[in-house]
Amino acid sequence: MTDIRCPICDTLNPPDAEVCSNCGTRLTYLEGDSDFIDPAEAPELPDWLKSYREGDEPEPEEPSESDDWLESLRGAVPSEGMEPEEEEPAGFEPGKPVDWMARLANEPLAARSFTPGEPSGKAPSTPEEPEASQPEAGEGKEQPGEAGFARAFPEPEGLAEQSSAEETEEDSTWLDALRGGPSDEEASPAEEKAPEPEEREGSEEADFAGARVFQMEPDPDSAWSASAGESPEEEAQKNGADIPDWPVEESGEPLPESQPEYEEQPEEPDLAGELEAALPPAVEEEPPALEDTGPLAGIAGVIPGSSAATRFTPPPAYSSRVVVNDKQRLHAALLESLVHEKVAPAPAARERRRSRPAGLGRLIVGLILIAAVLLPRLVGPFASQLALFPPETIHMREAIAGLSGSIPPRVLVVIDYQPAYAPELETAAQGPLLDLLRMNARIAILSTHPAGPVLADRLLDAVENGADAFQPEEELVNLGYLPGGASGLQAFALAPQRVIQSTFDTHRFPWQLPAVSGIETIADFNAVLVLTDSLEGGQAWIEQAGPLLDGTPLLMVASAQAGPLLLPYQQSGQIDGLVSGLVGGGYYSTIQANPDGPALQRLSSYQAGLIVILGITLLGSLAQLAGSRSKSTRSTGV
Amino acid sequence: MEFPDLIWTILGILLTLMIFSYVWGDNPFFRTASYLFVGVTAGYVAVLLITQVILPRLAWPLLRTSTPTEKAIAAVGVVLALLLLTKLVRPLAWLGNLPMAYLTGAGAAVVIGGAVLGTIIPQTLDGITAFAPGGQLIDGLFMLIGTIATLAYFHFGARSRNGEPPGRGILVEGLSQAGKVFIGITLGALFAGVMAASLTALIERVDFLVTSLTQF
Repeated sequence: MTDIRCPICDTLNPPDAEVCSNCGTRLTYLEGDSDFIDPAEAPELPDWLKSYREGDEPEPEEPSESDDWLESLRGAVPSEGMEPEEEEPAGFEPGKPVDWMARLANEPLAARSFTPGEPSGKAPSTPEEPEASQPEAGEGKEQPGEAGFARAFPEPEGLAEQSSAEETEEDSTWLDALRGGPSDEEASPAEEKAPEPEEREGSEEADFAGARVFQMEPDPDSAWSASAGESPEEEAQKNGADIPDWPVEESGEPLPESQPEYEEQPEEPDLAGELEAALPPAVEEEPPALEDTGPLAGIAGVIPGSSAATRFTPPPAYSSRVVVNDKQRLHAALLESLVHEKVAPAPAARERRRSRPAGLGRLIVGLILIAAVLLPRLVGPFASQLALFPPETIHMREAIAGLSGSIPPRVLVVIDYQPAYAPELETAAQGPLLDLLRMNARIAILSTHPAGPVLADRLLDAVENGADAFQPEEELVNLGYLPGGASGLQAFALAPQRVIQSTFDTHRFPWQLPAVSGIETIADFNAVLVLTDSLEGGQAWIEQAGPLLDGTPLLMVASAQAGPLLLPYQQSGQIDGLVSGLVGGGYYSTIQANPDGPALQRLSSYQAGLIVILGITLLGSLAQLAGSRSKSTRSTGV
Repeated sequence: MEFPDLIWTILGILLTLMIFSYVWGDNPFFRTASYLFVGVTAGYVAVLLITQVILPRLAWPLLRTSTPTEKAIAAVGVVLALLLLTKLVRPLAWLGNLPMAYLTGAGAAVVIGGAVLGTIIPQTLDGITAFAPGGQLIDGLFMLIGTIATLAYFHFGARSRNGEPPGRGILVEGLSQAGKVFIGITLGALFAGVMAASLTALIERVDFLVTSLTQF
């Protein structure tokens, strides 16, 4: 005889080997034929099992529903799940149902006994729910609680292709256990209480379970049997199912190893078990889980948020220490000290109690100033006669005097100061304006400040008193306000008639009036006199109109604040004359030989006021210095 | 003195005294006079701009008989003015960028050109002539030193040497100290000018009070 190749692990075994030396798979059945079992030597079998052997069960006319999955198994196992065997086992032909399988498929469930030792916590099989307790052949490797439900249904063909060595090993284990048979303790009660097969035929489910008992011999050590804590008979009675007598007899009288006919008996379900083992594990499609937390609680089929949330771990904590050297630490300390000095709240200074609205000091200073200003009115002018005239004022005088050659001269007077500076600029400008009016100059007044037109009227009203021959109706025109700043100024310098369309007071077209008739550009004026209180105003006229004057004198009367800043323009020749402040007006009046000029009239008050201001400033500085010294002396205690 | 002049003179005296009341500190009289001046000035300026700028430069050229060129120019001004008004409405504020860009660009061009041609070049040339033969050399040197020292004071560049704290060079530091003196003199002169202007205004007001009171 040739060696027997194990259909599971392909191991060659001796011809007389009954089980595979490698994996323990039973080989005799696979190798032998159906005549291997000697019926004469076979033990007494139950009637229903005998009927299986005699083949008197009715052949199904058409494959039932349960045959479908067997058919699928036949078609799937040899081709996909297992290595092709060289010799087909006896009794197994591809495409033809195995006898015992067919019998099992056609056997009513009531004819099969119930398997004792159902898993705890699971309700015993009842006629109302037979599928839930139907175990299946080859299920010994599974937990009893998982056995029945999934295996009771045929597996899809595509899933019947898995067979692993581990499963085979487990199969060999329970096969070995089956060879030894159950212990006497377990089998004897079942033998006594085993009902007759006729009685069992009424219970289809119990009969099916009895078939399982033949296929899956419970492991005495397993929790499946031990957890019951009761005898199989009691368990069976408790579950309301009958235990067939044949497994009891089988377990009660263990057959010796020399009785292959009995041992061969389980080979039929053994093949089924192997085929079942070839099937992939049942993929139980779990019902969609219900979300139990969050806003989607109670909705099935959503991604469980709780499990997803648990996958996230808190962010890792890193050390916040920064490695710095000594120099950096020193700088940080310095910065911190600086910031601390800035943000540290200083103690609130105690508010001084003020019983008077503004303080006595301010009142005294104000009264002293007013008294100083009034002093010349009380004691008469005391200002010294101005002798050293500044060159810019002399140039102003000369430039205005030079206008007398053109009769009548046409002069553009620009008002570019705020009302607050009106007293100063009116005082300073009265001398030059008086000269112009006295020579019957045609005056055109243009304002680059909105309040300029009104201030111009006020200025000329003050000047007209000294010029009796001046005829404002003919010799004076108020062109009004020129908007646009430097841009407007440049536009006016280029084309005055396009920029100014009407006079301020009469709203007539000005360029036909005698004062400005024939004026096309700013250079057509005989002189431009700008009265400004700021450097920017004077610069704008110098920068924008200066290059377009073409020899026309540009004269300026500036405030005492802007005069020093505009002086370089006079020194560079960009300004032909400059009168700065009240003192400049006084100089001009002196040159003009006009002792009644307002500048000279106010010069005494101005000097008196300056002396008072200087004295108060000096006294205040000394008092502050003395106070600080005394405070430091008290603090040091010296 | 006629009645209107009398009324205005009395009103002027009262307002002047209300302003002088500030020597007692901030008080309702001073605030009333201040608010009155501010309000009158704002109203006057508004009326002036309407009558002197908007109507004659925007409205009349479009509404009255004028040449097509004048109307086109006025229309451009009206459109730009309306676009500028959209700055008051946040969703449409971006429309005002066009007139703002025009104003800024044109104004900058005018101011920069005037500053270069009217101030920088002439003043630089005048400073150079001071060092010419027959020029005022001392004045020129004074201006030169003052200019350089003032510029050095506003030079904030510093360099670290030999691990010492960053600081300016010795020459720059010395010039900056001299610049401090020039800057102090300049600011003192400006302050004196402000004080002189204020003093002149005080003198004018006191003269007004004395003259007005003596006329009653």
